[in-house]
Amino acid sequence: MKIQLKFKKTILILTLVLAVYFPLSSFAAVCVFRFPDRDVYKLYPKATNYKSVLKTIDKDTKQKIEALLGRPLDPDETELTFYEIYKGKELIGMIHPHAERGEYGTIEVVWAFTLDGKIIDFTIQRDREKKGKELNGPDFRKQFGGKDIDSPFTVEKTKEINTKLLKPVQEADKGSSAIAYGAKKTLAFYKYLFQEVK
Amino acid sequence: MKFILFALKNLLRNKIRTLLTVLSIAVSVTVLFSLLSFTKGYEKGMASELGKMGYQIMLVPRGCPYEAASLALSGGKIPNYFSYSVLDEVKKIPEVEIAAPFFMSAVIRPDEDRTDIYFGMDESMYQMKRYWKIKGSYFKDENSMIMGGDAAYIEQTDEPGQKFFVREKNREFVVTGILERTGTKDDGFFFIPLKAAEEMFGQKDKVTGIAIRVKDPTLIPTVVEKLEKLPDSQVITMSQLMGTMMNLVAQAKTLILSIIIIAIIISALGALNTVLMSVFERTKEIGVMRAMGAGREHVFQLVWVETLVMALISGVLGIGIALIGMGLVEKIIKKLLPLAPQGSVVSFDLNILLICLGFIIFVGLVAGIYPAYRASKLKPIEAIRTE
Repeated sequence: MKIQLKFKKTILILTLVLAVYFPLSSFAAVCVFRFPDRDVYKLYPKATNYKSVLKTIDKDTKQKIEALLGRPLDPDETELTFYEIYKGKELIGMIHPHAERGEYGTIEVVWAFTLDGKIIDFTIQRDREKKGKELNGPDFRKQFGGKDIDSPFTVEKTKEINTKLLKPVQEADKGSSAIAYGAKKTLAFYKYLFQEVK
Repeated sequence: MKFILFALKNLLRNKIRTLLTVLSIAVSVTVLFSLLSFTKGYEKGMASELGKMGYQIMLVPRGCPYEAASLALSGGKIPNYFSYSVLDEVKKIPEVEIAAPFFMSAVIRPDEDRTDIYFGMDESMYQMKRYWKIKGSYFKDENSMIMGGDAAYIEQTDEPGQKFFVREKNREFVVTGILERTGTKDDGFFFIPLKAAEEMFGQKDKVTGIAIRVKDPTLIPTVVEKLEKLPDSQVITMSQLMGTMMNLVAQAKTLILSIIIIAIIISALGALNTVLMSVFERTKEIGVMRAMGAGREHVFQLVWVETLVMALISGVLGIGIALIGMGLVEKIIKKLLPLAPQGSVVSFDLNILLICLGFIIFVGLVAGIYPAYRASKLKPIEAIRTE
């Protein structure tokens, strides 16, 4: 009878594991990293491999991030995926895909930054902006290089770009600002989910 | 009841062997149940989707019939067009209630791994889509757009008023409406005014098809006959489309069913072997039982019940796994099947559950006859002497 109970228990546990696993497997992150095999090596030409890290934003962290940004986070920004980039066994940087609403819908940007939180570069993986090509072009992108969370490249408490520090793409103010704000947000996430945790 | 408990106890003497046998049968049952649920769900989904289209006949330029089916069910880009003169001819048929021209084409964006399907339509098509629930409004001008529910979700557009730019065609739209999910392919489309679509794709005064609703469904054959006389066109009725799709599914089903039956036969042989082994191991015990007064029928019954219990557990486990994995099966099928209906394609049905359970019990009963017979034929003295 004992064995019978054990058998039943095993089946029950197996059933529960399956029931819990399958709904979770359909989880989708806020912004999916669509082309990791293309973009990781584009942003880090020396990378040899990468590893995803899932981070959950708890209530305290959320408050800190919102205080820093001066704006509330989106309701679905609760679990975020970061990518650790390796050259052999050495961790050389981070990647975080992030979406913000531009003038013509969502702009999905893949941010690459150093381990001390300085932007290296970015690439747009999806957008419908009229000036999408320019927003993803070198002239606009290079302005972000080296910027960190303390760089005032967005005007405080708004999504607007600080034109003293960054020049928006012509006729794409909204798209430019969305990208800049996305940069700030990504660095804030990194600060409170990685740097401050250490 | 005593027999069942006794049989269960016997099966648990060699847990690993029993577990493996149970699992092998359960897997076959899982696949059988999933396949039958899929066939049922697919048929239901397809009928519902075709029913929701609001028209019974589609007239498309002559070409491959599967391409036409694909156009009707999934949308896409087909480089064949009609001129408006065909529409005028269709409108002249007295049995036709509504003839709605449409222009469907796709913009492929390989860098972003997506294909946007644009559906150009006018008021006549909107009349056929009365089941639509729009957040916002119908087209206000030539620059308006209505987004399907899924399309809006992907674009993260939750409110009308959002601007939308088609970079490849240098064309700007304003979203005037967002569709509530319909459970049809409409959910993934970007609906734009017919003229805007023709212009955007450089096919002025041309359409890719005409959707036709007849005044009375009994008149469909008459209308089809008249439409077939039109040059360079191809008539597809929704019932033909349903038949074509179900034929494709039936062919795949026959093939998979044959494999499942082979798997079930193998599993049944496995069950037979397990029980037979267990009988051999218990020869002495059976001899003692017989010596103490148990009749041949009692021994037969006991061994037979063992196979039955094993089949029952396997059946329940198999169906349980299939039910838990239904969502996953649905996802996989939808990914693999290019023309799957938008709604659910795997449907739970109590009859299917009972059929699967009944079938596996029957297989268990058949598989158990021989070991039970062997056990019942043992002579008590010979059996007790066995080492």
